[in-house]
Amino acid sequence: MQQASKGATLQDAGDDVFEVFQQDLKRDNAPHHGGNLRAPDTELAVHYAREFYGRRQESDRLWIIARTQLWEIQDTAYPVAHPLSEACYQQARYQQPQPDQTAHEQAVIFAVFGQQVAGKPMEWLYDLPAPLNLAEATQQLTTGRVLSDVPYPARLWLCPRESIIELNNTDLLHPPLDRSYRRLDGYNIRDKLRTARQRSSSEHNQTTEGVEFTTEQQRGQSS
Amino acid sequence: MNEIATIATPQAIPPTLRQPLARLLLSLADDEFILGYWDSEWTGVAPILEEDVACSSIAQDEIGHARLFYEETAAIIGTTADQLAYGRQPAEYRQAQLVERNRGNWAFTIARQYLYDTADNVRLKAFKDSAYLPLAQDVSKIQREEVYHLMHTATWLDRLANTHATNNTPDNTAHALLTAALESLWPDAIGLFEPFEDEELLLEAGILSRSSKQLEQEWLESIEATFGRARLPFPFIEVAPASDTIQQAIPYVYQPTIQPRYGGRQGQHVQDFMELWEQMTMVYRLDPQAQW
Repeated sequence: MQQASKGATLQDAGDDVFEVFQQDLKRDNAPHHGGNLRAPDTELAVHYAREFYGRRQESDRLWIIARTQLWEIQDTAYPVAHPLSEACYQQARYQQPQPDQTAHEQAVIFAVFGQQVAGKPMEWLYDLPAPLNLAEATQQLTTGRVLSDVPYPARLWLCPRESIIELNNTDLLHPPLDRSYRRLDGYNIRDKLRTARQRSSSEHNQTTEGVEFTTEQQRGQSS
Repeated sequence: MNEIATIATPQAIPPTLRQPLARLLLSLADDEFILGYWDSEWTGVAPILEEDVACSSIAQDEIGHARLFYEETAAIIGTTADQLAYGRQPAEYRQAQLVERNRGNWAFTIARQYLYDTADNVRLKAFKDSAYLPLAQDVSKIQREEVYHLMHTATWLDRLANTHATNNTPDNTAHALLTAALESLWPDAIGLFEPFEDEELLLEAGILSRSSKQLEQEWLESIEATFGRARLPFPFIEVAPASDTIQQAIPYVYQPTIQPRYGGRQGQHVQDFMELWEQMTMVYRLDPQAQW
């Protein structure tokens, strides 16, 4: 597991942001981007990911990736990859953080994410077959396009495969919970609404009668 | 153990056990209910938004568990869960004093939650063998959720105790706050294992499989290493067991070096709870007959 904290605070570069991918094995072919969260370290990031993306048993698998480990290719026509945090901060017009240089140089297996359908979230597409450094990977995914049988959507994310923290523990994501005890037995919301409507309409009638009575009384007084 | 007859329904409880069993279930329910109330106070003000959600979710679980135990109690003494939760006088509540204290600062909350979750873990495991089957079944329903609570709290305890010192200038504030919180909490924490009322009857009937004293020892054994590793107060000494105890087999027992505070299980409560009671029962007391 990588060290998440380099003295990160909420004010600085957003080192404490984690991107979360989720997969429901019955519905999804691959993990897709669910959203992100802030956590002071990777251990808490996993806890919170479970809380936000797995509490309702909606995921069989979660990938938690520190945003500092993700790079974005905004347009696959050009061999340029930005740190995702930089791209996010440019949009938010915050001060640009210093990109983490380490993974640029090292040859690693990159996992590639992309948008398959407009309007749908980014999803995992494939891992690059051989270890490459970031520049080589970027080249291959843009102008190089050496892999003929894989998709190249316009916008891609990539991260070192080893920086993905996977949570697929059934005990945490699909505990055999019998939550029937939480049902409110004997509390039928439709009945409650019907009673409330009847009460409010009978109150309304009473009020109307009351107004008429007052008017007649006033009439009697004035004549 | 095999000779002990199991009790499958509230109707089958022998009259002499009715009250002790109801009080036992109330103790469990009240512990969860009051702690859940304090946890819910972090909604909106937890250290980070993510923790806010996690805390609220744990509070929801605790209050859900309380409701389950209230319903079991209500089935025995013939009332409703709401009446038990909100319709009693303060002295009729049976929670340990540990859960009554104000939520305090974040270190206090984590320290208390850790003491409680670890103790609850030991207690729930023991209840799975209870001769009162509804209790054993309820426990197996909620135990998985409590396991998650414990993981969450243990992570935070580690973090605050600086076991994960991250940068070059370790900050001891969190450790100091945690130590102070634990020092004030330990006497109450031991009170979690104050014997239940009529505990001998419950043990004899197999409703309790182990005495509170035994559970207390199991609990201390399960957390001693963590406290040692994190350099946190653990105010106990290991002494040879008294010769008149039945437990000759065990090499030592933990004996507190501080004065434990008991009383919660007999309805003695602290001022913080009086204030909480005023607040949480306010709406119910306006009109106890109201239909919602």
